[in-house]
Amino acid sequence: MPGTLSKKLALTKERLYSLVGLAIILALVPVFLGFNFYYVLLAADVMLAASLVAAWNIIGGYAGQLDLAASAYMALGAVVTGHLLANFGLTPWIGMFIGAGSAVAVAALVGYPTFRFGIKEVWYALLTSALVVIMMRIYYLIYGSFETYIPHMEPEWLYLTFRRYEVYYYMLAAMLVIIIWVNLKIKDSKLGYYLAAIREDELAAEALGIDVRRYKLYALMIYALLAGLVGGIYITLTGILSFRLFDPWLGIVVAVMGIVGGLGSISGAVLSAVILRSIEEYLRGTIGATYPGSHLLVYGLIIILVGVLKPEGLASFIDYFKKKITRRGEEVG
Amino acid sequence: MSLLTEAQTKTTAIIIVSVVIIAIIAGVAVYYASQKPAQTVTVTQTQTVTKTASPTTTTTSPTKTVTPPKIKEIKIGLIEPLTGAHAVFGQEAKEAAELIINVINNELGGIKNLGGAKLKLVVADAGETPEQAKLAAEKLVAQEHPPIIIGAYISRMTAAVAEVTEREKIILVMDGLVDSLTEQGWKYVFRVAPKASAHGKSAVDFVLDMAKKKNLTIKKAAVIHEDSIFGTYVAQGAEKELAKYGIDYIVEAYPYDISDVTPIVSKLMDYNPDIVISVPYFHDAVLLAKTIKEMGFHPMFIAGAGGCGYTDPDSIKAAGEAVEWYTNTYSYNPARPTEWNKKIVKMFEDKYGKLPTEAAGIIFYSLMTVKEALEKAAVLHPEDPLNPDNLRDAFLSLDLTDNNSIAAQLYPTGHIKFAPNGDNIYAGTAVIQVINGKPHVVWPDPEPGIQPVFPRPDWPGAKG
Repeated sequence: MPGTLSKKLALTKERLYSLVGLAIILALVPVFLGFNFYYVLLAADVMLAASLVAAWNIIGGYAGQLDLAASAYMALGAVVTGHLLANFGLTPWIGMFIGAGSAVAVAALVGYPTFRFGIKEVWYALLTSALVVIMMRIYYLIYGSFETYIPHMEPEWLYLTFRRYEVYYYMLAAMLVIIIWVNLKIKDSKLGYYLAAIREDELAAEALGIDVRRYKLYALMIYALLAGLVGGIYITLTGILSFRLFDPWLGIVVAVMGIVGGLGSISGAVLSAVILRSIEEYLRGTIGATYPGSHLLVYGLIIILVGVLKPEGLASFIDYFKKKITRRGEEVG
Repeated sequence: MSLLTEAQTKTTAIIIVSVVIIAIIAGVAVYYASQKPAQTVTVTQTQTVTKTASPTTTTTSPTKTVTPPKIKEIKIGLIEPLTGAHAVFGQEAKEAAELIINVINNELGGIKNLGGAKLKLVVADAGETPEQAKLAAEKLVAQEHPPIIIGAYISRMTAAVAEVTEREKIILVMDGLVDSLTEQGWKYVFRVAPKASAHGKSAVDFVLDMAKKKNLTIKKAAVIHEDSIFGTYVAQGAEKELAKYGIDYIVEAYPYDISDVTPIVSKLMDYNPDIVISVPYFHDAVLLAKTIKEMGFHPMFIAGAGGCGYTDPDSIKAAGEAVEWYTNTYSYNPARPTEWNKKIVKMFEDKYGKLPTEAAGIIFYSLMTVKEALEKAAVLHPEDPLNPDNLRDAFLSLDLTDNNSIAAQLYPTGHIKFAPNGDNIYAGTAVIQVINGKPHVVWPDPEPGIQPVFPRPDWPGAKG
């Protein structure tokens, strides 16, 4: 027993070191990019996608629910934060948490009956993608088609209206590290094991006495909280509030990135978001203007290739290299 | 177990440490970055700046340059939605821009007052969302840093681009029509095209003008519009103009993808207005025209506003006889009988095999206005014509008419002069009417040999 425990401890330690390493790398990215506005904004955008996919991993990867409503929770966090700032002058530092709180409330409101009546698989996917559209219509009923632009406010630190992008990048990078940590924490906890059991076989898990509904709901609420927080940061970055924030397409993209990354693999999810988002934007920036639309073609091809060659996702690549490295290490040692 | 919990508390500690690391490096990095002027960062830029005299370099270092910079080439940025749902408009705008740049460089000999400096078009794809548009703007700024950018057709994308151009002090000539874009207090934005509410106003002005000519009085009106941001602003422009003339009116909004308009038409028939101002998208226009015909609603006149639906070839094909005598307002008048308008339209047709629509037309006159502004800047500020404040000054001092410019010849009202907020004071639209199944420009300058049909011949009062 002590042997396994110390092994486990070593594993968590390894994880922690890699996490700290990741934090340092992320922190240095803008320095390597030379603080170029374009690249830093692009990096912030990549961090945004990575954070969302990492948050999605909790419900999609661990709990195995094909959730397409990432944009609903993100946009709700965004519009609550944004309108509190634009209409009432409330600092996003507080607004963000109110926004995330409302996202959790909606998740609980929708999640409870959904799981209570055992809606799963494709039906769950349909339900969640409908949720995005429903929330979009609700926003439309309140604010109509009008757009609200958040003005530049002083002091910048209080209202988060910077003219540069570094701060947004760092906030999103910190958010990503926190989300990864939440992921790891869940993976190691009782909740994580329950969710894995639910993902593999829900009926069997229920037969074993796991309160399936409750733990699925927990996963959904944590995911909504994180997505809402990301939304709060996102809106301070773009500053444009409209019903189009509730974008069904984005919800699908997040799920696709998570699946390409490999279900349940946190490194795979983050890596796939970083790679896919960067490639997409790079292609759009280089050939998008000369041969419009060609970037989508190449992007789609990459996804198909991964799907055909590595249906387990990018995570299997990572495992492969990890094994290779450790094996070599053992041989040398 | 105790070991594991210890590890977990360690986890928490190290997480806090890593976030703090990010925060510290962030603080240092941001401080370091903000100390440096933004432009020195891009290494590639020093190579591209031949003698384009990047505005910022000249402003930040007013050193020994006494002689005016010799300018050979001026970059003009174009940010348009080239992919996604709005790609049709962006593509046409790009085609139009390429054509006009070619005309300016080759036929007009570049910017004459700047020694024949040539314009160079640099294009970026604005995509479908504000953040994509913002990325496109940042990319264009970092890699090319043009003194003037044109874009981005869709209002929320234009707003995203404007945030970047305002920070960088780059002139943004907007082809987005939503009113609020010029109400944000932005300093370096200009809009030649008529804004959304000007479309609504023009539709009402046209109807009132015709009624006056035919000695008819209008007491009651109805405004129906699709409820997008554009449609709502167009309708507001119409409402304001109706109120100004003391005409009673009702307003009815509906989603553009409406599938049954019978309730709306019934409501109109109950109210029985003299005129109907309709702001449709495309599909709903066909539906409205057909339903109005079927239900036998015969008001004095039905005028469209906003440049979508009723009078374009596809709508005429889809709705057939139902859209006969309908009108719509357009930001561009392809039939305007001026020398240069005829020429440009013919060139566009020869090159791309289609008639230019609004998206192209707005670019025609916007880009020609840019040319006039550059000419003017060279006269007013020969020492530094591409400085953003000097350019702004040049734009504000323009007063273009048919006689002194090509830009005005391409513009529906033939007059361009900017208000301090960047809008054209003499903004106006052309009105196109379907006559015998064909679209004809009828107002303010009718096509040769064409008379507007007013009131509608099926209006009961028309016979008596």
